[in-house]
Amino acid sequence: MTTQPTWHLSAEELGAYLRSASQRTVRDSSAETHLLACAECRALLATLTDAASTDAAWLRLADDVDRTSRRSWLQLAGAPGLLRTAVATPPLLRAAASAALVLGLVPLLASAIAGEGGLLALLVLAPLTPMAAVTLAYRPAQDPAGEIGLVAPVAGLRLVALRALVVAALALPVVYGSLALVSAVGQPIPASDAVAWLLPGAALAAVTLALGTTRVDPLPVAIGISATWATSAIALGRSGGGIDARSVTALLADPVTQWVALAVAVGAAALVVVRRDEIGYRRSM
Amino acid sequence: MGLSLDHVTKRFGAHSAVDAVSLSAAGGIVGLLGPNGAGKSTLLRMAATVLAPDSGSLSILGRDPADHRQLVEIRRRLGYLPQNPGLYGGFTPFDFVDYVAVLKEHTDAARRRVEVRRVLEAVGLEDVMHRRIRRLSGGMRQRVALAAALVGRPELLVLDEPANGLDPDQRLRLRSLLADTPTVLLSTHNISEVSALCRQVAVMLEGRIVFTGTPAELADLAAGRVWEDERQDPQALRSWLTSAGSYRHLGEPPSGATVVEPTLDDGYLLLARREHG
Repeated sequence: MTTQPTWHLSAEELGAYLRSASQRTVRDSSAETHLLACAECRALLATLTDAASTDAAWLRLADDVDRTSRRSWLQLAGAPGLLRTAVATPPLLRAAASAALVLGLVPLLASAIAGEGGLLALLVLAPLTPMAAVTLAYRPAQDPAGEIGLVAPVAGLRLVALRALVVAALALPVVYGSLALVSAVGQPIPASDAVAWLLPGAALAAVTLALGTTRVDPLPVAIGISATWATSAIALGRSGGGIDARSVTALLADPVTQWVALAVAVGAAALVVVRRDEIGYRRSM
Repeated sequence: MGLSLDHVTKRFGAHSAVDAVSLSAAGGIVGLLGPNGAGKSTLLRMAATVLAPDSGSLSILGRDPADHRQLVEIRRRLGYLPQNPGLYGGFTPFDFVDYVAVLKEHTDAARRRVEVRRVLEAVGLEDVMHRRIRRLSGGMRQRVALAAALVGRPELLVLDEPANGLDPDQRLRLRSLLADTPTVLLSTHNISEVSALCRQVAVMLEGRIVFTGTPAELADLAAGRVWEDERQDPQALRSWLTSAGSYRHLGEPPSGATVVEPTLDDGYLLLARREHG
């Protein structure tokens, strides 16, 4: 569907363009614009100079033109194309932003309103957040171009796992930042307590990824898991005379919880690898 | 090699969206014609490796998509345009096609940019390749998705309603654009597109393929069964008012009726009527 230009540069004009290589004028820029669109004139230009150097020059010029359109945050120094592209996609950014919002704002608001409640909210939400982020990132509504990407050779496990890792990497500093902030406002939090949620969080995220290889929609499952976790925390709090940050931390840091979480995380990850060809997130099919 | 489906079935719950379909597309442009809900998109999703069939066998470019290594090989040689291609509105066409090119393993940045430019120029978007997609018209967005499907010069193109949103001029140019691809399987409910684009046509109704052949053979199904009259004919299977003001009838013509040359629409409508009883 390319529209070919209706006019062409003469050999004299192309010669003048070549001679001014080190000092381009406005007129040369116009010639460049035309040459980018006109294969006929590029062919004539190639006869006036060494073909290889012309091709190289055009590649450099076209690269310069294209680079100007790229957003600066895409230019992550040294990052491989897949990582750069995965990081730049809106679904991932939305998921990471949602995770940051939940982890950052909710505990702070709760802390402002209910004092120690902020820490409690953070500890309850933290293990759920990786799962929520992964669930959000792979909803059809979140990734409208998902079906186009799904049939590419890089899609499937590699892309999904990479996105999950990126979300986790973005969520971690937010969690620690929130913990530090809530800790500064309220009571200090031991470092061991601050990482107790990591394995349960990884296990839930891995389960969500594994669900992405089935026909089961991860969203209702994620909601069910969240409700179960919240109910367990509240039940534990009641049995111990009231729910507080210490009881939730104790539940998360309990060796049984940690071993079960590790087993679930490894099992779900293995299931994802085995079922890697079934990775998908188009629940409307 | 192309594409070969042998008794392929896909169910969603109790509903068979694709029911024991056998179809071969070994070269050229093959059109899949049928009304909305006939199962065309489900069939194309299986041909594009988005969905796996529940039963039957599927061979794509001579490979078995059920095998992981062969699936990746297929996806390296496949271009796919979904029915409603979602795009990232904040991206430019260049960025979006570049993103798809990365997913298609075009790792060399300089060569990738050349390829992205090539496909965007091929669909006539060179003037807007750096404008945000949300600012483009529906037809331009369709061409962005088409460009993404063309990245890497695929050996098989699976296109679901590719002419959606394209103006008549762009529809005409679509044919030459697809000519370089060895095998193209496209779906449409627009019969004129089939005659304009396709060498072979398959008609799909309620999950089943009920006809395969050339567009001329589809039209010939209605040979001797189309007539025109000034009045409606209650005996006809189908009757409709033409733009000339006369009625066109489909069925067994009464004696003395003015039988006319059948079109592709006539063949398709007769087939659909016959299948629905």
